[in-house]
Amino acid sequence: MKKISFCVAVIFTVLTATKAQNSAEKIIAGNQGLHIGGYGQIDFNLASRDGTIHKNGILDVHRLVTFFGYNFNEKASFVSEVEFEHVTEVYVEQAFLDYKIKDNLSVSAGLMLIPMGIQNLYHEPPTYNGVERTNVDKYIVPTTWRELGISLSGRSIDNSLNYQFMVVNGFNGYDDGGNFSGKSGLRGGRQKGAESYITFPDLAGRISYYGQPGLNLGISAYVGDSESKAYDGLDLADEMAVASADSTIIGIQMLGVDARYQKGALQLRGQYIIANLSNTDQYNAKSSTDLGSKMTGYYAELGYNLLANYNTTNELICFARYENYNTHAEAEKATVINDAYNRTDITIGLGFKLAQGAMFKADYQLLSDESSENKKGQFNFGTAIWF
Amino acid sequence: MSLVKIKKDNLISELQFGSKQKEFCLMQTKNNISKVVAFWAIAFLFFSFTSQSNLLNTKDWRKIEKKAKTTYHLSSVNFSELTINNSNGKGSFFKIEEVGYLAIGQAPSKFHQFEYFILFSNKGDILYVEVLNYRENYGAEICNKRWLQQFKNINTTSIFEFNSSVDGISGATLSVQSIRSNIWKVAQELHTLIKQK
Repeated sequence: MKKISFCVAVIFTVLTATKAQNSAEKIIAGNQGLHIGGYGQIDFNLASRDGTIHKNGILDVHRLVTFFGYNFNEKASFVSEVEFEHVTEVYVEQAFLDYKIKDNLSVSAGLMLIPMGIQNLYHEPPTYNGVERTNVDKYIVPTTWRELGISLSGRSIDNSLNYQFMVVNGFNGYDDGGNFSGKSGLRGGRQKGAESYITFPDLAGRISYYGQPGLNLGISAYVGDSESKAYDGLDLADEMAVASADSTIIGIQMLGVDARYQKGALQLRGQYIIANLSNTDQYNAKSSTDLGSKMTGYYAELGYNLLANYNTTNELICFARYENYNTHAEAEKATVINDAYNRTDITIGLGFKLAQGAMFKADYQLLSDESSENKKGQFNFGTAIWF
Repeated sequence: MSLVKIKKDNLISELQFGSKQKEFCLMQTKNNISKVVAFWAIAFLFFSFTSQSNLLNTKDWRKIEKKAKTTYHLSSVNFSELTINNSNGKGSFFKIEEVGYLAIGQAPSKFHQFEYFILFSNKGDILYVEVLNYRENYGAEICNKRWLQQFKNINTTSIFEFNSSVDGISGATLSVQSIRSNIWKVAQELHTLIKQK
């Protein structure tokens, strides 16, 4: 009996397998299965000596991210990224279930990246030049910016358009005290999906256009109020208490435009982000901080693959980038504008791509701000991987 | 005639497969029930794999037909499937009348798979490439028809020439790499098929 069932099993297996091999449709097979991947960057930052002051170099496994995705069937798939930052900190960077309503439209729920600018969405280290992410995407867009919510994403291939709209929880602007600051903007308020709470839902969206070959244009927007623990258990009939809680909220309107262009050996990219913040005077008074009412940041980068005309698939990209980010572009009456928050970075460097997902990087950054004539230099070396 | 030859090859491989099966059965008769269960499970997996397969729908075929008509200046087209004796093949191939070939391929994008088709000349030169079903926003840039035109008459004999004539797209690194290497492999498979003729 065993023998028979075994032989039947083998024949059955072989039959179904050969059927799969020989039919025209074999390659159009189902998409079920587990996807494993990951990315990471390991850095060595060496600040130049500041006059006679010595600075130690820093070596860091900056981030290591493991990707697990599972396609349950044609329509349902799960995506997760678990991140180790500086070895000891563990975060969930993405975790959402995606349901395909149509081939070109899907709805997702869970922890997702806010579609703002280039690097928050495309943050795998071999996809950008320079060892560190751009500071516009650190101080203005607080990358990696991810929150919990629902997203609708789709595309119109005929019109070369991608779009995404999201309803998410906002920043944790105030709990035991204020989490925003003049220097770091909204960065301290990211909830990262860890016991997040919501007072008001926020909206985010992005549209990108790729109708010209090699050119990718994007517009991103984010609108909403920050969240506040002062609202939890608030008696809405108590006018004094409501007024006090209202002063812990920041209204946020962020808008970004970006462009990437690639043609042969040439790579160009640029981004401009503007964030208007309201209610900052009340917030700053309540939290004793110095949040600005307008933040801006932009960069322009030129890259060139020196090996484009050689018989190799490796790439040696030299690049230069000019970047300005100002978390105090404007401030309300009670806050004095701090010129030290108006920062400019000039970065020049090299990237050696051994494969599309493996890269050695080296660059030199000249960091300055408007408060003084001093410029600080820093060398960065890094290993960047993505698979 | 090539078709006959292919069929013969098929037959031989089937015969070989058959005899291996028999040996296998004899070898395994003494083994316990867990192995039987395991093989049933594998068989089931294969079955579910094929039964879940997502065939090109009529809309896709209509698209292919329409494009084939304009590309080859035909008033009606007939696709006759070529059987290939290569289980690791990347593409499915069809002869289009006496004018060329159609290949249908599937390749991975970031999280999903997409399908595309290529129209070849009789000599195996690429005339047209189009993506049929792209299932995510990441990398959708590769569906741009003007970008795909780079593959028209591309050199499919030198991999270096081939790779360096395809411009990358930032934001679509994975999908560019995926469709590029897939088209290369499918073109090589077709070259082999044509040689066999």
